[in-house]
Amino acid sequence: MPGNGFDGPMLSCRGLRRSYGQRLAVDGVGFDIARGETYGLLGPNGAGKTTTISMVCGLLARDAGEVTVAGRPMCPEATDAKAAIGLVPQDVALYDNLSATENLHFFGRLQGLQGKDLDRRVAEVLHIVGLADRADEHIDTYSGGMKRRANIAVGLVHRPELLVLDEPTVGVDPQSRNAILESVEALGAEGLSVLYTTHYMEEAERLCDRVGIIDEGRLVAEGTRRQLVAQVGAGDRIDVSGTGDLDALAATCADLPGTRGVDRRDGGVVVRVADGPASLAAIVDAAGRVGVAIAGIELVEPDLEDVFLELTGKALRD
Amino acid sequence: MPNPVAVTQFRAARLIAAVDLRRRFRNRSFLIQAIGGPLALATIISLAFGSGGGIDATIGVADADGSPLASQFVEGVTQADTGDLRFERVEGPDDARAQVDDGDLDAAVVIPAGFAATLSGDEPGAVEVITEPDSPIAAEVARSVAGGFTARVNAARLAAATTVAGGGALPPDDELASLELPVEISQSGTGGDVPPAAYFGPAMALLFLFLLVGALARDLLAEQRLRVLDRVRAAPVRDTAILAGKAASVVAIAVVTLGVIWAVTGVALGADWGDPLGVALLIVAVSLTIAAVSGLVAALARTENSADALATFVAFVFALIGGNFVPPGALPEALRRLSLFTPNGWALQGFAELSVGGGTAPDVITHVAVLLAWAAVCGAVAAVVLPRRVGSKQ
Repeated sequence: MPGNGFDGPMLSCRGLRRSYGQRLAVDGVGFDIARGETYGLLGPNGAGKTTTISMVCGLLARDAGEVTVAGRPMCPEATDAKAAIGLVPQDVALYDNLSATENLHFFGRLQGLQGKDLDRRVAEVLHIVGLADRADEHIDTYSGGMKRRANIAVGLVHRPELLVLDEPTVGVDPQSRNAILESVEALGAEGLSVLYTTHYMEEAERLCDRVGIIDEGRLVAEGTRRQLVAQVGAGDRIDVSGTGDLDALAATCADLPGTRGVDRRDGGVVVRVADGPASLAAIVDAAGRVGVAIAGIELVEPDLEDVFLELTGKALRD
Repeated sequence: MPNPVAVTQFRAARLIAAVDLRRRFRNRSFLIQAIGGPLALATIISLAFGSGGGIDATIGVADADGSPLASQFVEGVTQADTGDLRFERVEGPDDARAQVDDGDLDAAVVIPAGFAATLSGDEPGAVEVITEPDSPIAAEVARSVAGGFTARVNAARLAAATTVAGGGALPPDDELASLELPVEISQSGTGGDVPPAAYFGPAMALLFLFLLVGALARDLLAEQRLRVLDRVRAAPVRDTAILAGKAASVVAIAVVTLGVIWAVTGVALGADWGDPLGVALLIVAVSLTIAAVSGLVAALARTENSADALATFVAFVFALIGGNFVPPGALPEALRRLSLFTPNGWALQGFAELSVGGGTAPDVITHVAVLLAWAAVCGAVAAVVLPRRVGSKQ
């Protein structure tokens, strides 16, 4: 519960390991989340994100490792540690022939809320997710976006200290997706600790203070975006579009100092370099030498997609 | 002082059961399956069997022989107290045939002229039975009555032949024709004056409840697939409390279904299920069994569809063997014994013991104990396997 005197990390995971038969789904994952921090677990489908949060939330027994939530040990039988977590599963995990209010009352009561406190809190979260005016309608009458918002509301109803969201925007239309991201940003700004799993790089960049990159069950790197970029030395990217002998331009750029790689693309060349501003003039000069007329040139700083590519050798959506 | 964790888990189980019940009783198709279906089927079958559980038919008896033996037979059957099964004397074979054709009689038995003389002859006599296709049960009764009579006559012929073979003298024909061959006709149905709804009410309720087992198991697996179960398990609730809550809701559904059908068949169809305490004990015991079987199906099924298929298989096998469609009394002995390998069989024989046999609660203690044993065994297997399927040990 808030203010229980524990001033360590809100969530601490150490050496989490879990197998399904012969398949090792999570292998030695460990990370901490500070109070008020939004931590993103970024990885492609099947990377082990859901298995990790299932162990974090006490849904799944661990083969090895430890989890503490605000200092309280988590296991499937834990009650104190579970009470501190609000889980928002990837699917709309609600009873669809009950209303949003009825779902919130049920899950709120399971968490120990009752009476006027429960009524008040249900009204609050309905307001937070913008469903107050449709609160008494059955979930199966809601649009997809409304269902997702109701799904988040249930995770918030008992005032958790740590909100765990498992890919909450998968299959959601852009408008609803934006509304969900704004809600998570607002909750983070209010000081709620958040564990957010996603395979969308832009969501992790937008929402998360720190990101853990997970692939094939292992946490391969973690830190702020800047730290991750620096850690892997992903470098910059220069996108050149133009007309002329683009193959010759690609070959010339590959020999320039500071070039890490060159990709020939339709109507242009992508050059990965250690220092973008330093390489820019040399690339323009090379284009002139091989007779390419530049239509556009763009310096792009590395993002988490590039970091993931550097670390794993594959794209996030592979 | 109560253990606070136990109190919390009990409260959680109660909440889970309550929300399950609320969801199900809002579902129209569930209500049809749990209440409407068994009531409708019990009513239809009960009406088909008639209000007294016996045969409602009129059978004509014609004496073309005119012998004392034939007169004795006609007098015997027409004076027998057979409830709704009536025997009427008719003038002769032609009259009998005409009345059966017109539908005034459902069947007729005719003692032909010269029948008594066959007692001393070489050829056995034949009694004619006139039937019509619309009354197959009356036809069977008429054949049975005629068969019974000719069997007695043939026994008398055999005695006469034995006497002759032993060197004795055959009595004169008029003496033979005056032999007293008593006629006994009794009717047995599902239980004398007990309306068949007292049997088919619980029988149909159990059939539909076992069919519902599939829906209940499927719901649990769907909750797992949609991760609603994960959300419940993410609360401070243990797997045992979740399973207890789910089981409690199934028990409540079965108790409500059987209770409603008990009340409605009593009020609307005049069915007396017997000693209320015995009925209540059986209802609770069989409801616990249904909940345990539901858990077992959920534990064994790999998918929601396989839960449905498995439950349907179990429901029909139990129903066919257990006597949901035919009272155990009407089953051959071997099948009647086989019915005791099913919970339906024990439950229905318990209900029949109370309604037909006029038993009281102590008379169904064995039935209740066997049902509780079924519940314990199925429940134990489900309790071990289900957490591996839907709980933290998966």
